Amino acid sequence: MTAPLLSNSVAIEAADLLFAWPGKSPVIDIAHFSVARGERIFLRGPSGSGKSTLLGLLGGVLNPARGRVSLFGQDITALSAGERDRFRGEHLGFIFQMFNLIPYLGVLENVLLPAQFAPARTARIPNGDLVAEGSRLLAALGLRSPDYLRRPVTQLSIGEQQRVAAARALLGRPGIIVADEPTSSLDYDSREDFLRLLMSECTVQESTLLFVSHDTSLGPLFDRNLSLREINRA
Amino acid sequence: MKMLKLALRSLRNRRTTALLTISTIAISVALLLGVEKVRSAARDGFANTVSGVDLIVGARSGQLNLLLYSVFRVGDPTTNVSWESYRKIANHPDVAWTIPISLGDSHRGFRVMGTNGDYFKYYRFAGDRAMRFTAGRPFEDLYEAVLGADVAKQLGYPVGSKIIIAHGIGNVSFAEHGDKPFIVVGVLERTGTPIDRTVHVNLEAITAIHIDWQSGMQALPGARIGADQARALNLTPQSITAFMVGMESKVMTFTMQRAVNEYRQEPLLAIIPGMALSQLWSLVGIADTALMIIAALVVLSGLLGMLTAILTSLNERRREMAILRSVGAKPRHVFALLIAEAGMLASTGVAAGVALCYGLVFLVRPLLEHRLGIFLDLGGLTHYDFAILGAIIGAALLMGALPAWRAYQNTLSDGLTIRV
Ligand SMILES: Nc1ncnc2c1ncn2[C@@H]1O[C@H](COP(=O)(O)OP(=O)(O)OP(=O)(O)O)[C@@H](O)[C@H]1O
Ligand SMILES: [Mg+2]
Repeated sequence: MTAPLLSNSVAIEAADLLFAWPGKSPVIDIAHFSVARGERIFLRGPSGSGKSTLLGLLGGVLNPARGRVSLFGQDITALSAGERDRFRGEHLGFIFQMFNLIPYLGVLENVLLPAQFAPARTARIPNGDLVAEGSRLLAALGLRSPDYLRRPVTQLSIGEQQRVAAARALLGRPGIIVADEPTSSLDYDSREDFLRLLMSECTVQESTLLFVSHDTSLGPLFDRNLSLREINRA
Repeated sequence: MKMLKLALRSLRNRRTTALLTISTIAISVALLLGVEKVRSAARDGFANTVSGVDLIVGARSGQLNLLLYSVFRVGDPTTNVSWESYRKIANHPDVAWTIPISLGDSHRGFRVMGTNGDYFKYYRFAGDRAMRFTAGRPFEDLYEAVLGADVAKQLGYPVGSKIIIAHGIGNVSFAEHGDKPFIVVGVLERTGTPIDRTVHVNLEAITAIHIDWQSGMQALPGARIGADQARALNLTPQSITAFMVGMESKVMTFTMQRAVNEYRQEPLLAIIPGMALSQLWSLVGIADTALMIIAALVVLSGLLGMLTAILTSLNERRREMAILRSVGAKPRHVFALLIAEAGMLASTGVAAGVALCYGLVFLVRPLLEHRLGIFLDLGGLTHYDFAILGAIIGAALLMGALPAWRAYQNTLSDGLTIRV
């Protein structure tokens, strides 16, 4: 099932999408929105405009009141809740703004977490060697010293934590990396640094990147800049 | 399986709260098991006080009263049984043996019981155990005494000691049978029954020491009868307190009981020890059921403590749940994670509680055995114990379902955005 899906040239497609939090007026009302495979999108919007909500819809964690979300041609809104969870685990990698890591797991265990829930991601790892792949990703993102692997994640700096989170999102080559303001708690230099590493790894893995932020200074680094306002009618 | 591993890691991360929760459960489980152990030991010990005796016959009063004074040496008989009635029943062809009992005197707080040699021969306790001597032999001569294990130990009397019997019962007695001292000729092995706290003498000796007494007073010095003078007199008692009966055939027990209860010449009462014991236990048992209920409530509060701990942790862990969801965990995984935590806390607590209980039993065993004659069993857990422990873990899992359900709901409504 994975191969034909990934051959689709459109990574994300949302059509006629409507979502409202219980008891509130709609926050998301999108007529059409699509991202090509391998594209790196910068999505901005003021706080509270519904960016994270949109990511929840694209990830299949939230259910739209109306409309459809397709990832690589698969209409995930038509899937059952369990199938959606599996689809998300297999094809999406998430990076959040803060507190990305499970505090009671080590660095490597955090990176390897997706393999526990998405066997398909393990299958995509060369030789199925999880530890080697995890270390490779951490190194690619600038965490080279093996000493990192053993440290409790709570002892890492925020910047280091974000890299671990990025490594986790990238593990097992998910088709789409969704980043929800992952750089907002970093200083300018580390921000660019982090982004460059993330992007080059996305290129290596041919992953589509959907990057959400209200920090417009990062915009030029992406293929396409988009304001949520432009696509959202709510 | 993977959720079990995660739950374990998560608990280790919060080990202080986890350990506290586990200790609360452990202590409450130890209490419950301990109460249950003491309870069953007490019940067994109770049922074991007398066996091998088919009937106990005394003056007509209450069943329990008769049982209490004849077996437990507690309380006093109101009236006696006449020697004629005793002999008549003892000579009945269906009766195999009888043990006469005469109570009323004491030695330094321990009851003195007048009886005969058949007592050592036929009386049984704890199933089919007969009395055994750690030192000496049964009494033969008139002024000889056999001590229960506790009497000998507490008063430090070896065989050969001389003892004076006090008139009446009570710790401090002013009237003593000082003119007729007894020699200790035997000490019994510990039985864990009231036998341990009894001084046994010849039935005739009871008559002998009272021969010159009238209404609680010894005769004036001139009219007294010396110890050796008494030997020459007829020492057959006019009455005894009660007697125990062994039947030739158990089948005749009920017939005999009815016959005694309908005995014309004198109002008598015959009881079957086993039945009277269980009736008495049903009274005593109320207190121990209450104890058991209290212990169960303590366990419940231990489990509620666990519930509180898990529920409080829930809010600060919403982020953790969202991360799990983002990597593909289903809501049921989140549910399983929390149930697994509750299960691990409870089962570790139960295991620690069992260990604690055995540790405590090991420590208090000698004390209980010595003071109360209760023998605690250090053996394995009974089926009943396992049922209790299983029920505790089951209750914990059931309680764990509450935070698990809350977390489940949270993961559904939070989406992937959690403000911490
Ligand atoms: N779990 C929730 N329950 C109810 N309302 C929510 C929930 N999450 C978000 N909202 C509401 O939906 C709207 C959009 O929130 P969202 O988190 O998507 O904004 P955002 O664009 O990501 O903001 P920010 O840049 O601050 O992260 C807000 O008005 C918010 O109050
Ligand atoms: Mg947001």
